[in-house]
Amino acid sequence: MEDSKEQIEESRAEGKIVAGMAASFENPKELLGAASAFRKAGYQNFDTHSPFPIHGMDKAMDIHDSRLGWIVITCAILGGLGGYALQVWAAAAAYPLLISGKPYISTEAFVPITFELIILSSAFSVVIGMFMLNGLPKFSHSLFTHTSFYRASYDRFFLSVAAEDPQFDAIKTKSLMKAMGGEAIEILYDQP
Amino acid sequence: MNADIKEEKTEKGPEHGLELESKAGKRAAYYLDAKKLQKPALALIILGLLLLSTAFLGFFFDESWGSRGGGGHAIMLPSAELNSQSPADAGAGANGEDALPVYQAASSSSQAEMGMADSKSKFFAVYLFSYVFFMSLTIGCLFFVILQHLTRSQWSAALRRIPESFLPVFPFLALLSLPILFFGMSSLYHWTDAAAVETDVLLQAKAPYLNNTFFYLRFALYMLFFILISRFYYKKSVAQDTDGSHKHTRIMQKASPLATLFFALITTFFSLDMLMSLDPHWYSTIFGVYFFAGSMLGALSLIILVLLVLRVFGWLKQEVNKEHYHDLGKLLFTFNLFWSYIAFSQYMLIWYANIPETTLFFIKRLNGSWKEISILLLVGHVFIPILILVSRNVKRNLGSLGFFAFWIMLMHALDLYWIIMPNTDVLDVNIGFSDMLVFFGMAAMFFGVYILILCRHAIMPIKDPYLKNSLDFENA
Repeated sequence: MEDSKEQIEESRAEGKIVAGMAASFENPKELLGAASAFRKAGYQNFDTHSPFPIHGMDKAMDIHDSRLGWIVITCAILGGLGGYALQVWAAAAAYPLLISGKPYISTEAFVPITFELIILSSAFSVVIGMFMLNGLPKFSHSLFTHTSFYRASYDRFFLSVAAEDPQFDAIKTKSLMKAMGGEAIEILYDQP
Repeated sequence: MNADIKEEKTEKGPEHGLELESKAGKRAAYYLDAKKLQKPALALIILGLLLLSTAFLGFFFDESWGSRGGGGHAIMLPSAELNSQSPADAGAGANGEDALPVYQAASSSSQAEMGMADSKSKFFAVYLFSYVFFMSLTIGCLFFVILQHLTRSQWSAALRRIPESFLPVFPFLALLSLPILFFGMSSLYHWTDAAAVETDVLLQAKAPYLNNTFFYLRFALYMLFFILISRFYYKKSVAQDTDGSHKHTRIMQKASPLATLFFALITTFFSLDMLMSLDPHWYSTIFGVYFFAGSMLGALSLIILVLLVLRVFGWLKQEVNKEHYHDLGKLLFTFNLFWSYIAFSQYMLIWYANIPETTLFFIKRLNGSWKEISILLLVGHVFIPILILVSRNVKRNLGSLGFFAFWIMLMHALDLYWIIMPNTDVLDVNIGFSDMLVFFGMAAMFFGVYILILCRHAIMPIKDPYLKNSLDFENA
């Protein structure tokens, strides 16, 4: 138990930045149990990594609805207003052309483009907003300093705790991971 | 699951489905109490018949029924008055004049007959509205069932019996169409008037399609196909309840593409004949899709509401959970968006092209108090449901989903009312007590028959091979 604390202190002295700790689990059920144990222990900044989505993980980790929806609806409204304004400007101010006796500002004719711009801006904001919220793309991540993390993409289930978490403690975190059945518990380092 | 079905060539296989039958106590949980419900259902049907016949007698023997209120009816109006109601702009004025021959035919008859003809046409218009409304709900349910088999949906297995039980209502609805076919044609459909056709070039050109013989023939075909397709899907599904054979699911899935094709053709032509030909000069190539979209909305709202009513009485509480309601809500939202898209496409093309025969449809509906109904449809059928139902939380909350299901069903009814009634109540919306009698009479009969059907078998397809997956279903 003491070794992990010593290891952290040692590596800090060497100038390495400790990013967190990760453990691997045998199966999704163990990972679910570990996730709810960590949530109950008060951890907030922890994550799970699995080869496939696990039902009930959102509940076990207490993950709330994403903020992405609000970003998208804001962009959609702005896109729609922008599209409408663009057409009003083009049809009534910049190039006023009389088309089959209709008024310059004919909302009916502007609806399709306004609608399509709502769709376009929502689609773009979904993709861009998703990347902004999950911090991708990244050139490197501390998780990859774990020696067997590559197995998260086929046969192992990982749980990682970030060092920024107020509950993070080299000894306590490690013992909780061990108690929940974690193997290959390793300290993660930020790569320079 | 699907692979299981394909591999299994023999007919047995309840071990794949849910073994509800073995647990005798649980079995009762999926059967409504027929003894308790039969009498109220029959009472509902008799009440409906009474209401309908009261309205019928009232309209035919008391002239004041049809012509109440200040609005009056176009066929009673002298032509000058109709003209003065047209908006000042030149295009609409010309269209107003174009419309006149349609209504002048009736004004040539004597004043005494007029009141009679007037209340008669009003009765049949309201009757047609009620009839098409309940027909559209059943049509939507039929498509919902076909769609589940077409896509091999597993999530919907637990709730599929609810729309399926609406399918045997088709023969009953075919009976309800008889008053229109036998007595209502001349007061509803202007093109049946031989004298009017003689003076009207457009109607002459359309006569090969719009004539009585062909109309009756087509109508019989629609009813035949609706009854055959719905009977097939209903019988197969109910038969699976007893023998648990996967063969039924396979056959229903195999037949679904063909059923979809026939369904699309029949529904389109049904809507063209029943609704579009009310205004025989008018045409819209998208009208069939428009009617179909509305029908699906009505059916989805109906399914949600029936499930919620059953839930209040303690049925299917565990089986149909938030996840299923969420999916029904998604479909409701999507079809509402689809309806709006189609409705706007129809409007925009007519607005842009500005051809007199086609614009007349909207000019009628943008005058008098119909204008308010049009705006209500735009706000209540398009903006409110789309902006609010887009939220995941609204769809997952049973209270708010139920409210919106009710709201959209109301809007669907208003949409049909808006299509049918301006042909009779030309200048103003005119809803009276007697109209309610017709509508609620038909509603009572419709739901009375539905309850009787629902009592005949389990309210869940208890041996459907997909049932287990449906019960465990969870939205990602």
